[in-house]
Amino acid sequence: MPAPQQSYDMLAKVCTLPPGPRCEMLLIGDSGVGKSCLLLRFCDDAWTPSFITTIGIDFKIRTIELEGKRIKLQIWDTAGQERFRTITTAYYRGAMGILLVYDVTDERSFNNIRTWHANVEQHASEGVNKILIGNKCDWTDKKVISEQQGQELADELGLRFLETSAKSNINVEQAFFALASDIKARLIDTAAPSGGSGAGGAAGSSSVGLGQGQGNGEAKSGCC
Amino acid sequence: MSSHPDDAAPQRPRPTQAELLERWERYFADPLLSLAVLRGEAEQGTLEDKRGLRSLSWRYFFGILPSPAPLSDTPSAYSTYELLLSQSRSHYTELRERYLRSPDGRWINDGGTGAGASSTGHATTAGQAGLAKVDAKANNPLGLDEENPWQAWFLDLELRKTIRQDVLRTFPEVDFFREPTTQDRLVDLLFVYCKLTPEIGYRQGMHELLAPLLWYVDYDSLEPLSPNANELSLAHLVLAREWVEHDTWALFSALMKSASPFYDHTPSRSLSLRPPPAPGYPPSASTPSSSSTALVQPIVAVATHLHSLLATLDPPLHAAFTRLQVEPQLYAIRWLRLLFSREFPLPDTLVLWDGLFALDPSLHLTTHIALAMLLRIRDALLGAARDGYGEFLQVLLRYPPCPDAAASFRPALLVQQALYLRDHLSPAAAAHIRAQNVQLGASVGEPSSGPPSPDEEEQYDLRRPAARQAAAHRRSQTAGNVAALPQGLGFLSGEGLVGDLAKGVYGRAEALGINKALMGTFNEIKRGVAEASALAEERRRQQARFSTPSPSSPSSFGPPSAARPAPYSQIPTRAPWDPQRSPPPPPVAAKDALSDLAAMRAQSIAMSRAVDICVNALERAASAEGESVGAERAGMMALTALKHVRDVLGGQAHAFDPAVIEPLTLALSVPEEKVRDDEPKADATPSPVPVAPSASAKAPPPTAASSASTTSASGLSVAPVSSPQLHLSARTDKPLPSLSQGNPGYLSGGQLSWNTAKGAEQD
Repeated sequence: MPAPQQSYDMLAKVCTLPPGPRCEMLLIGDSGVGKSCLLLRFCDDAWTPSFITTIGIDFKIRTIELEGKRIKLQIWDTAGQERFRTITTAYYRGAMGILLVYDVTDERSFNNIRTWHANVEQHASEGVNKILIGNKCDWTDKKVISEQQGQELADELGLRFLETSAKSNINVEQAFFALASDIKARLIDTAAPSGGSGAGGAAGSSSVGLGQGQGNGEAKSGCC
Repeated sequence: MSSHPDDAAPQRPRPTQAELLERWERYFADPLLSLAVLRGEAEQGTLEDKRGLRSLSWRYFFGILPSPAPLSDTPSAYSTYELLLSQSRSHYTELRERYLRSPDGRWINDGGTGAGASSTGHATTAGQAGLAKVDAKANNPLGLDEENPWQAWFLDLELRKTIRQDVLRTFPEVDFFREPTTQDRLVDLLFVYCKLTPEIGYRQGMHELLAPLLWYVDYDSLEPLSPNANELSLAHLVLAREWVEHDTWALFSALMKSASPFYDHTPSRSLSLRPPPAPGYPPSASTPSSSSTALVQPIVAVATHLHSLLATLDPPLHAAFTRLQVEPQLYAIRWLRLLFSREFPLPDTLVLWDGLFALDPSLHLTTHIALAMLLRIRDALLGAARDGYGEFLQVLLRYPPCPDAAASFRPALLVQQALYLRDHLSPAAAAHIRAQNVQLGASVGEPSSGPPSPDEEEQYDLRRPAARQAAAHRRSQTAGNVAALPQGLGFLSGEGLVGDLAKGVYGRAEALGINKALMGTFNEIKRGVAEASALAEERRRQQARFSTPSPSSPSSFGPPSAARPAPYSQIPTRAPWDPQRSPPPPPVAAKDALSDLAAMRAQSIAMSRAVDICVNALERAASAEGESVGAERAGMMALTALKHVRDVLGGQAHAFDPAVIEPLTLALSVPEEKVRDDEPKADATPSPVPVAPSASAKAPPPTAASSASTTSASGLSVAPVSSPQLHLSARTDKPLPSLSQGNPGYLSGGQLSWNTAKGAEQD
């Protein structure tokens, strides 16, 4: 038992570590827009109506397979009220992709996207990939921000855009995969294509090809 | 956000009024009741189970009630409480007036549904009792913003919406927090706090500090007495349900005085500055000498300080943090802001809070609790660190539960370890705590190189003989009978020794099915010792600064001495309760102090009652205006008695002589003063007067009290001099056979019986 285990671990490390060692993403947006719910849906495929306020920062991992490559997504979930760049230096700096989330039933959260975006522009590393997310799109009778408004804002800011529902599991996979794909295109594909394309298949079941997953016609096909 | 899967949804229906009153009586029936006693119980994690009325204990710990004392049901105690409470309650009433009325004088009403419903003009929360007297035409409540009060008002409504968003997500599994009244109260309290403290404002997390406070104040509350009841009930005054929100405010604002730095967003601290030093804060050995003068937020300063302590305590663990570039604030924000409530199931958190509030209401101990928490999971962290950054963070941000689910003393253990770390900041201390965790089944994760990794430890403190000794000792210990003896390993400092000795006996007694009363005995002793040790605390702290864990070796840098026992050897790990092998006797000094204290306490109570009678007599004399010779004579007697009390207090008289008050009580021929129903009248000679049994009253004052108390029950038998309610001597003839015979050297019969009387009361 120890020996095979050992070699498996070694293999896994070889597969996952060198090429795209980790892909850091960051969820930001106003308090209560559903960042933690999106994360829970994406990483654990779960939903709970009784959510509690995120305090400080939270963190989850999911390994996905993207175009034949295993990529370990490390996703930071942040408290909406927090101004983290004054608290931790690693906050924006390490992020390769950022999900800007608003709540389609809450106009204020939508209006604040500009502030969040300005913050990102100012403090995140240059060229960081971003996506705009309008969450709670299942809540149609409460919806105050139309899909078109979201798309217009995304166009203006030059962002990819998706409406999602963590509750009804709409477009959650697509959103994270789209961002991961952008990051991969920017950082990994352009870098020296060192070996180690992990065909381990451990995460194969959760693999969703980018682009095919875009059931939502509004999704802007930025690259890929 | 992490929430534990085993979070039992704690629905707590309110106890009945009778149950609450019974808890109240029990709380105060303890003749040794004091802040120190409550603290001792909180440190052991037994406070709430033993006494109930958690919110009352918290109020004592934060100093918003008078110091707890036995026999509080006197008119003078009542008026003291009444004064304090009416001040604090009317203060919050004023705050409500100031902040919860719109510019046209109407009560705010945005509650209930949580959808930010606009005001309909009808008060919701204002209808509660205690607010009815509010003048609806209060003068301008927004004096700060004269030019456009409505603008400020609408901003306030936005703020309340923000607050409500979190309030609606507070403890979703608990019904109490789903009630609209509760939610409105939480919003109001938080809103008032942030209006009153604009420099902090509302920050997420405060709501989860406030919620348990409101919950417990409400849970412990009593409905008002019927209007025609003319007796003064201290319980109904202190636990009044109509003042739940107000009393919660007092508690919350006291807590936030200490917790607000965790929430303060103003970069105000330079990193090189230490956080305000708590008493006993040892100077950090590894102060980062960064010359960076950039100001940081207080929470960042605290977190940085935390890691500088960790660097001293556990260099490998600190190195892992450094290597992975994990900043302490990543986890410390949530740990500290919520006072660890997301890291443990709620019931455990509350036990932890008991200890924290009791021992350090300034909350500086949180740093050391955090250190103890890190040490508990350090093996898991080091293991994860080998796997990578993400794995490491997942362990850190989802605090792993204790592997041994039966270890119900977990939260208290953290408090004890935190106290220990505060006084002993060394790698050896950390190693001891790790070893303790392993022995108690509280350690999380596999040690990297064999159980408690003594070699690793020795790497760091080879220079310290005591630590080396301890390491060697632990190797033999852990190789031995670990699993069978979960309660055995105790604390390593002087007072902890006795405390844990008692705990070991306690656990054993439980296993043997010995009744509660008996077990109460050991808690009593433990408490008493804790109290006694407080006397020596200052000295100990000074010694502790540079000492290793060995309790008996304040100068740990000296040469290794065979005579100096290693800590573990003093602790009866091998046999918590072995009739053949008596545990070592407690330190004589501690026992001495315990007896003295009991005697002093009893004397104080007796004098307090005497003074009460005197005051009564003098009042009568004053109102009689010389018309009654009897009243005048009583007045003279009262003066005599008062002079005697004065002399005792001033030290001119050695001990209080209850005889001095006896003629007065007879002269007054007051109706027999009520002895509390719940107190066993075990005395064979019930006295009509509340003061003293006549037998001892006629005896000369017990001048031998303090000197004779050392080795036997005599020190405690002093106490009945003052009051039959203590029942000290009354029980000496009934020692508990199994224990007093099993361990005569350790527990004197007097101690046992004295405590037994108390234990029986609780049944």
